[in-house]
Amino acid sequence: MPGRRRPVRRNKGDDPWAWLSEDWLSDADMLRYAGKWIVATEGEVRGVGRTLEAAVGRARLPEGAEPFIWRVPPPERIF
Amino acid sequence: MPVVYSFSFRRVPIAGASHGFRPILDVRLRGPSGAVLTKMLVDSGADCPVIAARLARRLGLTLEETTRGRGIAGRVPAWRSRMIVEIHHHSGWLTPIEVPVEVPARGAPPIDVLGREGFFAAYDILFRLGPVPERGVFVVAPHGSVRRVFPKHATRFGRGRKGLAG
Repeated sequence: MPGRRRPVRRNKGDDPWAWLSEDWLSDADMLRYAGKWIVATEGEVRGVGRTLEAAVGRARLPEGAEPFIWRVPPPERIF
Repeated sequence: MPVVYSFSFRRVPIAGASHGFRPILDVRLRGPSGAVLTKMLVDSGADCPVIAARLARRLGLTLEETTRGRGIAGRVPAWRSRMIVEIHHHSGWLTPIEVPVEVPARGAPPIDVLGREGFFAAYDILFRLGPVPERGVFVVAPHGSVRRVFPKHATRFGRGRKGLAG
């Protein structure tokens, strides 16, 4: 009896960063946070602020966490 | 692991135009103080990667030399440093590369950018947006990967001439 073929695609459950590939930041989020710094972990925004320091402070990151940090661009064309 | 990595253009809300499509990558930046995940715009028009000063300080980059940068908004003084960049693809993380980076001393870029210096030395980039941006992709291929070899026109024409002569 032939063996069962294994899936070629990698199991996303193995990758703790799989959420990065998804559209975890919606249009509404991008408009709400435009021009502000956001700090996120595992696809959830934990802290928002006008400065990076304020956003990190609000996020209360656990020790050793590797956060996602981004200053969300304003909803305007970039030349 | 694939040798060519394709990414979709990121759909972003733009006031007055409903949406735009930008070549944005999820990256991990490393500096002496640690690593952060962020998003960067692939910008073939920028000479060098550019990040905001606050992010540079968070990474613990040594900001020493001052250079004069020039953006679309005019001249701005900028510090120069180096950082490690890893690109996230749905199949995994690409090999880390070290790139130079410029940090504007005043203000911040509207979005952090991956410019040519360092980044384009490590990867070939192909933009294929097309008439339907939702289906567009941009492709990142490490220089060490096997290149696709296109058939030479001369060979085809040569065969034809031989046929006529024979």
